[in-house]
Amino acid sequence: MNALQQIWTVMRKEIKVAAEFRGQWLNVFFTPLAFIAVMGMTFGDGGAPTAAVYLVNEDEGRLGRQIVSALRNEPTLDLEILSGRSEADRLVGEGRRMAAIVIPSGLSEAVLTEQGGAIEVIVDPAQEQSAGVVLGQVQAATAPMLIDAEVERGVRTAFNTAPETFGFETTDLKALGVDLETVERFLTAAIQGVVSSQVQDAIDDPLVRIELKPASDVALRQAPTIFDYLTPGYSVFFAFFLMGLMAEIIYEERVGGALRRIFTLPIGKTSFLLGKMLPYALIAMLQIIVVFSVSSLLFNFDLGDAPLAFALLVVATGLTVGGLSILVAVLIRSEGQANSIPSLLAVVLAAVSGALFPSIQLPALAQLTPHYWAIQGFLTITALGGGLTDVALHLCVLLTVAVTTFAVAVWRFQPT
Amino acid sequence: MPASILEAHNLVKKYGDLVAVNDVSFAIEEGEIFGLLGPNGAGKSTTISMLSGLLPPTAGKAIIAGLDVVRETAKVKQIIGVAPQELALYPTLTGRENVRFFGELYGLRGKALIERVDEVLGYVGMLERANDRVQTYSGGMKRRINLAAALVNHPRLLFLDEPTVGVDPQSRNHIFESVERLNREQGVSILYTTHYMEEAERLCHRVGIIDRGRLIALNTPRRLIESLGGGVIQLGLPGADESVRSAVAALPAVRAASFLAPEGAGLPEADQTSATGGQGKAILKIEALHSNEALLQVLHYCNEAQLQILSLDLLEPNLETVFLNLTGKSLRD
Ligand SMILES: Nc1ncnc2c1ncn2[C@@H]1O[C@H](COP(=O)(O)OP(=O)(O)O)[C@@H](O)[C@H]1O
Ligand SMILES: [Mg+2]
Repeated sequence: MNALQQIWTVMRKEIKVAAEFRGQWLNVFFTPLAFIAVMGMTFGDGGAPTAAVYLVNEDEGRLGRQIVSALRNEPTLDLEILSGRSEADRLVGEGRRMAAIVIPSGLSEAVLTEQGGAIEVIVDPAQEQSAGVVLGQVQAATAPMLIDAEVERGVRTAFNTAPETFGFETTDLKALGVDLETVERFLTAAIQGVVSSQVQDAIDDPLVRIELKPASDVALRQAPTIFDYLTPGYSVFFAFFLMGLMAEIIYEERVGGALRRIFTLPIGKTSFLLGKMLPYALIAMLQIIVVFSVSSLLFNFDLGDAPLAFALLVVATGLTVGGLSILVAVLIRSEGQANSIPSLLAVVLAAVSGALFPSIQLPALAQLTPHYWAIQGFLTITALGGGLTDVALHLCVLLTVAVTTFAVAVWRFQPT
Repeated sequence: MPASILEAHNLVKKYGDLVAVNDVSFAIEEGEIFGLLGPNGAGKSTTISMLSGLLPPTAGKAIIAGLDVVRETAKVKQIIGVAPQELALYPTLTGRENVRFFGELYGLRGKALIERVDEVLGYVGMLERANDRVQTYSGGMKRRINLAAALVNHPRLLFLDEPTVGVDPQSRNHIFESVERLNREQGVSILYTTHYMEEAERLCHRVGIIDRGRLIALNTPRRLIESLGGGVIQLGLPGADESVRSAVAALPAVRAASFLAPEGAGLPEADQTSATGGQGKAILKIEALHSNEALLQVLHYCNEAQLQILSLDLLEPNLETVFLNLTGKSLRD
């Protein structure tokens, strides 16, 4: 009980001291919104960032060619055409590009059979999250022609199994001067017109599948917009600027002797550091909520519909900001370090994590940053319609980082 | 014999090769004001850090009110108060907020907290300005808040680390009076460190003299001064001549004579040899059994030996002279 009161006392003191640094608050709360607005305008509203992928067409038929040209017209895909599947597989495995779209040989024929066919998307397992986005883009780009193919198959199947069901006799047709093939083509076109109203059904339950290997169970709700990247990216990026403020205050407490005095009082290191860390974790949470709310109001940015998962992600991100920042703050030993290291670290981490420039394709290194997990977690909720189970991994990673960094901070903290 | 509130047994603190505190032992009796007098870097603050449970000693141990400081730190911390040498305050908070913060950390709450904060602020004479930010205070006012914060938990033993550094004379007097009243009226035992010998002489019942980590003398100020015997004479001569030194030392009213390290040479070990080599003035420090007689005999000797006297000082018998006599250095640089 006494420890809780001490934590509360330290928290109130910390907030009072930190409240003096007005410039920092401006930086943490308003700069991300300014950046989001400017970047949003520059990149264009609704334009999702491009994904760099390989494309392999092994199919010699018409469908293969159609799909290639459709994908080429897809502005969000940056394609590099490769001739063979094995080369694509190897390069993706090396992490050169995030995915490879493979149109297997015989697809044009396969779609006309009972079993149907499949377009394969080979993904880098390390970037499975982003692969969901590629899947969506392939779906969007290929949907029309796949539906055509399906209709065609339906008509052919019907003719091949029982032409008489249509009520035509070959001899009658001969008498009319038209051949079966012309009839077939005519009917196909007619039926396609009817079926086009059912396009949506076909997308939902396609006979031609697009397979993701290894599969991601995140269902794409809509293509992510630029704000799905910018909002969490800049929110987390600027939340980490709290690190500089924490480092500065703890440095002043150190040289001013306040730390020495506090630890001649009966208070433990853990209580003291919790009291110092929690205000910033809460401020980071508040900042994320504010930035997301304003972004949603101004830019029509959809917050998804998993409020619990969203709230937990806000809490986990806030605690991670607090934990990592208190660790850095505790290790800093000079004013020069206090002025340079935290902001440098905030920028480097953000740059590596992909928070600064929205991109689906990130170096594997990005996963070492808490930003990455926070951003991907929020993206999963806002753009991909994910829920609690979809962000469970993100929550675990973030909370692990928070707890570990805080524990190391307590361990390494020297008040004298 | 009164019980000891604090016992330091062979305390050692090393920072790598540097021995900041070297085998220091002393005891403070309940109700005593004990002074640690020594120049900057002598090891006073390091000693206080070890005694207050802030810094683990490299060797040795400390007992406060029968409790081992390292093993029973939490209990010890409840009964001590520390006013660090640095102004351990938050400049953007008010004096009252600062004192209140430390009070809350001791577990004080509600009415008891409010009353105690007012009480200690009144004690150091800072009630009027208590609601102003610390950064608007003079050095002396900050020191008084620093003292108030150390009193908030009713400590039985108070550590005051150079509490008058950077203080105007008025605040200085106020602090002296507060310290004396605390000791007289409430029986608080006090460990008071300083490098001002006047403070140690005025306030402390007993004084330990500390230099380069070692406690080199410990007694009441009066006894320490008496140990000088008949006083100390400093004689400036053109060179450090060993035959002159032994002749002076042999004079009947002289107890001992030695050449001081030349100005600027920090270490007394770098003693006579370096003084001899220089062409400048050498200072012969003469401990007299009786100052008047010694003075006459020394002047007589110089006259006979046709030695040129460059300067002559008869040092006041005080703790400064005690320190100089023990270390060959002055307390302040
Ligand atoms: N944290 C530390 N690391 C290394 N050396 C230190 C440290 N703290 C103090 N010292 C050294 O220990 C010696 C004693 O310092 P201190 O106890 O502060 O002296 P005083 O309080 O008497 O001025 C000095 O030489 C100082 O430089
Ligand atoms: Mg000191």
